[in-house]
Amino acid sequence: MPSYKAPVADTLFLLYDVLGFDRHSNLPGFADAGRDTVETILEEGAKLCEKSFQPLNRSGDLQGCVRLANGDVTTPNGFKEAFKAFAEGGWIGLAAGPEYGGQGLPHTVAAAINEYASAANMALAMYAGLTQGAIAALVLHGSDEQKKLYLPKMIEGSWTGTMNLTEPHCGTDLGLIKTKAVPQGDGSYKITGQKIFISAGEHDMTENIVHLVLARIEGAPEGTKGISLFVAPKVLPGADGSLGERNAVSCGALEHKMGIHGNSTCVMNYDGATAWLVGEENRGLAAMFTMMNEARLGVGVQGLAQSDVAYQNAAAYAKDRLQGRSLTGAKEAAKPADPIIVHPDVRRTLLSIKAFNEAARALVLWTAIRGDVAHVSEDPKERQAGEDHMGLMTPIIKGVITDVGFDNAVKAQQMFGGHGYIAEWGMEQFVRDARIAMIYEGANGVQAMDLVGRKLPRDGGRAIMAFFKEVDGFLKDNAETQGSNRSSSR
Amino acid sequence: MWFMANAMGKPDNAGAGATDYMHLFGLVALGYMWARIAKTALEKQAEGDETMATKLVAGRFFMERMIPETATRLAAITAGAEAVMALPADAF
Repeated sequence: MPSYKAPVADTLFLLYDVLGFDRHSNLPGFADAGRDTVETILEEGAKLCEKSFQPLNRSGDLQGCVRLANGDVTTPNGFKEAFKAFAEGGWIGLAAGPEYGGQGLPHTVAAAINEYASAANMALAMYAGLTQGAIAALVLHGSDEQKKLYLPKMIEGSWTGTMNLTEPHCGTDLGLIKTKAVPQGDGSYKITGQKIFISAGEHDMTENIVHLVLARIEGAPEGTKGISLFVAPKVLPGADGSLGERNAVSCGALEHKMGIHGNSTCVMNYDGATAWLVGEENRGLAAMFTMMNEARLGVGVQGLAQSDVAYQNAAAYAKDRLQGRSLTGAKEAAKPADPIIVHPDVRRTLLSIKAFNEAARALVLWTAIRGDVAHVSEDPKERQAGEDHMGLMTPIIKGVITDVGFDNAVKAQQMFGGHGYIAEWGMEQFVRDARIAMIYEGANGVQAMDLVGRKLPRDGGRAIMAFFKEVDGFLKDNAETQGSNRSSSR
Repeated sequence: MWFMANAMGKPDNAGAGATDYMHLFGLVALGYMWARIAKTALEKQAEGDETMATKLVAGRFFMERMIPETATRLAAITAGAEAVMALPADAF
């Protein structure tokens, strides 16, 4: 019985009233980013998430994915149709280039839609999210031939994508990976090894899955300097894009997880799978790092999404549930008790979540805009400033919004008392789903080390100095602004 | 500043303070976001938008009750790594 309403008004307020999104309308990709267009896009996306994704959130969690004896994996009822609707609406390739079938919109708009999708159904949203990540990798590092072969199908959602990095003995320390790649003399390689924790690794929703895999070419150096990025599709495509033979990659087992049960997290076995190099030899980790900013932003958005949907349900419950009386005299004397929203501790809890969420959404959108500008601006100074901002802010967005987002899901659950512990109310699922965002895509302790060890000192502290300068400047410029003392609201 | 003075030669000081620093920075960044939101909300309210009052209350709540956590984080960071690193592994 949980529900979700996408915060379209708040997104628009932040984008246009606070952050000046339409200030960039002269930049490529931003011409279609005017308020009216984006409002329509957000409302359409919101509808899809609320009507198609959200109703499957609990059922998907209860049913989970199933691995059959032959290695096929089935997703929960309805997931295939909902994913198809998402794909057919053009949502996967919202920010991808029109030359490959994408909508060519700024990533900022995609980030807003991804928040709604993740809040409605995090497990289901991840099939599209992983595909977007794989698309980004191929856009940045794929050959023209690879782009032509893979991107149109992935953008239209006929093929999904995955990222295969982690192995049983290494996740954080990818320099230790053992998966090996043997050149075949014709430009292809054969990959052998085992990857674990692979989200959306195998499923029944599309005719092909495009696996991006980190592996060490035979003879390459040890450690991080010997890792290359490969593409190993589940079904080998013919030159004309038609589907040929099944590749030697399979789901060995499904991971039994704490949450996001609707997402098929797999052990993937590569048994001499045919693969092609993406980008340069031994530059695989560097290639992954170029995608790091967007990936971190995406996970931060997941943290915000769970925090928001949990808040919405807790606020609704607090206005409905009658228990006890207000400290300052009954507020609903005709009823057997007052709604628990009269209690200061309930308000304090709800406000702490709400106050965090609204600022976190602003931080995400601000950073997404800086990232978009960094990609398309013709001014090298603007590009550098945008990249500095992304590098500095994305570990914070990832680490802080997921840590606090999880805490918020727990606090929202607390508002339900005993019913928060009961699965049917949905609150415990938000907690279980939110938990993983603190761990994957770089565990939060590692994000913190990246911030302090790399991002702070980089370029003589240029990025952090720019941030301080901006904040100081804003505070100085607005020191005379009087705040409102009105505290009632309606 | 404390990191610059104390972590360059002693990396453990950076490691022990990193998570606290990340959260400290996060609070400051979110506080800056609230400042920008509040400025816009006041402008819109002055133009007659009555929905902005809720935002201003939430922003005030953030400043009064959530920003003070920065002091805790700063204390932890500047305490340094000594107690964090003092124990041998089998004391855990």
